[in-house]
Amino acid sequence: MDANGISSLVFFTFFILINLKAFVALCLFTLVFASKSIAQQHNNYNISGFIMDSVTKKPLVNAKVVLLPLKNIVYTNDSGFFQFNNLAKTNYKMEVSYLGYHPIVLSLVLPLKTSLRIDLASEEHHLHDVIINTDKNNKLSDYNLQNHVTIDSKKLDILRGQTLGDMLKNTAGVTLLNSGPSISKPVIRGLHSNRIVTLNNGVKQEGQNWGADHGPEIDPFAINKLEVIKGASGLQYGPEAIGGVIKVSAKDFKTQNGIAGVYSLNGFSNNWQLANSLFLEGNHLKKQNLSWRLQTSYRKAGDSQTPEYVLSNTAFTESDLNAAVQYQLKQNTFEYMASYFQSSLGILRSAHVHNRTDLENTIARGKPSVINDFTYEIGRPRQDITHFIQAFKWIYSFKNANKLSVDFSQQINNRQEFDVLSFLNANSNLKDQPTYNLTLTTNQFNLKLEHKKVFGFKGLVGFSYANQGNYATGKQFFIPNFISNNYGFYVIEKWNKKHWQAEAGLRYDLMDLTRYINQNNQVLSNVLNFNNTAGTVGVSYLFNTKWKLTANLSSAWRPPSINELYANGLHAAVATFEQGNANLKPEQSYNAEVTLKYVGAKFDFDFTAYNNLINNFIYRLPSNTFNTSFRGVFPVFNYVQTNALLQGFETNLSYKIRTNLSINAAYTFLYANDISKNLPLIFMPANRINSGIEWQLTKLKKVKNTFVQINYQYVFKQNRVPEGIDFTAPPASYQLFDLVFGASQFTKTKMNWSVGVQNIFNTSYRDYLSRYRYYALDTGRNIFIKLNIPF
Amino acid sequence: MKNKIIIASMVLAAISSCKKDDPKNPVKTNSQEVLTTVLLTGYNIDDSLNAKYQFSYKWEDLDGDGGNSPIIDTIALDSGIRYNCKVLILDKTKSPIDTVSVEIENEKNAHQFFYTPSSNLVGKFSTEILDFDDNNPKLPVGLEFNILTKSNQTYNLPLIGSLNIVLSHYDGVQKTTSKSDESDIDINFPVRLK
Repeated sequence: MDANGISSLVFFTFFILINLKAFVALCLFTLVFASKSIAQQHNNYNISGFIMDSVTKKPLVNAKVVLLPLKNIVYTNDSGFFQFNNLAKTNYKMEVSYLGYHPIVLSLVLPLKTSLRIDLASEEHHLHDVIINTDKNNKLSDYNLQNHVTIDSKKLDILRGQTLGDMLKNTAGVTLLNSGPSISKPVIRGLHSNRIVTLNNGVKQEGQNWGADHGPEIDPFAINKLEVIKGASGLQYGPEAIGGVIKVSAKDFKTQNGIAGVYSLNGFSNNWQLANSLFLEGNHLKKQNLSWRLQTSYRKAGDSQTPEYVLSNTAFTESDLNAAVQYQLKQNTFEYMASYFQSSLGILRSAHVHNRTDLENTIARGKPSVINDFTYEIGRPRQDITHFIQAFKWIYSFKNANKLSVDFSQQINNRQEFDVLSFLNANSNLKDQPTYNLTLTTNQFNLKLEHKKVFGFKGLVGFSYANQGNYATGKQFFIPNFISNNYGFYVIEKWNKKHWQAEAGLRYDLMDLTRYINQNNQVLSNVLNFNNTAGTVGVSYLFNTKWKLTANLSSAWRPPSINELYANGLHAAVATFEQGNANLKPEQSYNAEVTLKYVGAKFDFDFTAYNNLINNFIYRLPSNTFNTSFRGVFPVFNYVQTNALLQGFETNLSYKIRTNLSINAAYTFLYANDISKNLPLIFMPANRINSGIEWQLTKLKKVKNTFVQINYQYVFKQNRVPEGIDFTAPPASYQLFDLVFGASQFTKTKMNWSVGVQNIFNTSYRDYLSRYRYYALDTGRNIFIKLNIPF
Repeated sequence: MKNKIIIASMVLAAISSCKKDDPKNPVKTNSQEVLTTVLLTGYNIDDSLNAKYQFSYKWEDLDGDGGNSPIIDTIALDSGIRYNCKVLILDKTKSPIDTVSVEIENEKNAHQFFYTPSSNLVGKFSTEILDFDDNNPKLPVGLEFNILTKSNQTYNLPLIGSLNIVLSHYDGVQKTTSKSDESDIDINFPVRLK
């Protein structure tokens, strides 16, 4: 075998620099067939060709082909064939589009010697057919009739910021829950944390997900594709995916022999952050396939800044190492992936208050009490986090197109939180001990059998097992040790015929959770058992190549999380005493939604409305009791349950004014109620508008594919809050402008770059879902530079 | 053969798990960084016998945050008297008992006690801090202070109120004569003037 691949892999493992992945070209077309058409006379030329899926090579039926400037339109027949006749010997442009695929524009000079073969790249979700026979092993399960948004690598290169959340914030229906500038969690239709599952290259990411100030432990540079599934998705991903799923994927393995790579460098002015990443990939051997990829990233950021002051102690660092190798042998595919994430995060110094009086004083002051000069130093309080994942996957493709896949994964998440120093620990060995030190180890096993199309049905059956253990040390108690087991069985079937497509699935889960606590050196344990069923039914109808209607009903459930059951301690950031409730029942969600989508030559539009009923919705409520300690008097917050109804809609519009000028707008609306008490639900994201204009500059000399984007966001004030629970009223509405200028290529190198400004006008604002809005403003203007150098 | 080695090593790497600490053996995590007891001792400065009026009142929470409520003595004082007082802070969960107020003395440049009587005691009960730090100019610390009670000619006895004691920590901010936003201690004693 090729020893080079392995040795390079080992060698670069020792690199401590970074990078990013190259991005995948989305559309490709090739001229293949020899043409029969040879022009004989004036106005008797023609253009003909086949349009097919770039991966499956199956013909795309009813794809739209527009010939410019004539504006002649034809649609492909059942073989994916199209033809324009009686054309003049001149230049034409041809636009090819198909719903669910990336459209392309070709420049043609007649006469053509060949007919065309045009491959369209899928936006991942095929309308007509489901791909099963590809190396992309997850195609079937990826595909469902729920509301998906996919952000591809090209868009990610522009959006990529300092956290995963930054890349999602312009997606309709998705907002962020921020704990300062370095920690942000995605919120899908008002739900977050344990109500969302994050899949990291197929592995369900398991950190201490329950914590609102615990961000996902994922290297933003390692994300080549980002997908959001909105709404209850408990079927494929197990309990907890009651609000949705975020799928993060690395770049696909290289398929052509050789070694390639990309170096990426990002700079951000707001916190003077430098981030870089080195990505390498290779493919070796001829008959079999040995592919690998390796990436290492490092970022270092100083204190973030608001328009008025520095957010002291918000500096952070992050380093990452990701490696993966794939080996194909006949019908077998083996994959191993490992990644290590390490981050040190400063927590806004002033967000640490000791009691309610301190909190009220800080709120009354309107700005942080501690404001120091900008620094890269990370003081206390801070979080030190490491996350290790390794996963092994085996896929066996039967000759009859059935497929078996098996995977194991292991994750070890360690979270250490350090409180500020006080006279109680200043002079003792307690000083350097974390206040909380939680180690969460998760093992997962998945087995999945996909069957080929039989009587119009394709589908899969699967089994999954997860085992989790939490070990808590540190100076204070917040959540206990526990061991949990989860067994899941599921079946999903899909059917399609002509314009109709349907999907149904069912999943049953069995869980146990055992808590272990130390009481006067006696170990006490108790077990909780949960079991429940999740299901989904969806149907879509394609009216023609432009209009599609999808309806979906799904249910999912979520067992109460460890903090909701057993938390018992002070929550320093908000000066509350949290008390779990071991009698909580699982949450059960019933979501109904309808999506109407239109894809035209110039105008695209989609509209989704949903109605999500969550029974036994768990939330924190101040009780009438107080906890007295030497730190002061704290209101005790209990976890209680109610029935919640989250209703809303999202709509996206985009319009191509000219071939090089387009505008887009999205609106996110959510109306969330506690229907048992007939009150608004607290901490739900405010409604917002995102819009943008993009201008492709085609005629610059030395750079290609240049573009200018202006983005605008308007966030309404959240007027719907219950009275008397929050410490302060919701902040005012705000609007932000961003500007990006980018180019994909200089003439000689393949380098691409972009520069831009976020919050151009340095607007002072506070977001309702910013957990630090009690203490400080959100961040101000941020100028960034992003550079990718492939080699 | 090589193929098998590759596959075998991948499988091995995947299933080899480093055994972490066992969740079935929980350690005690609670209350390693607490104070249990605030002790207020004092005597009547103007009493020639000096020992006659000595007192000691305590605020004590032996099981730390949560659990049982603290046990709090009522500070009973005579009216029209000047008391010299000291505050002593202990952690009785340690053996031997840890006198944590020594640390406050060591960090006096970044700490300050505030003694605030309830509104009905204003004018009848006041405090005066006696010890100062090494800042320039010197600022009060408050480990030692006087309590002055006004004579009872203008009000009725007994008078019930409370005394709020806050220890402000100035970390990352300049120490001033105002409270900081970080209260290391914030407790209340009932007060009875007789």
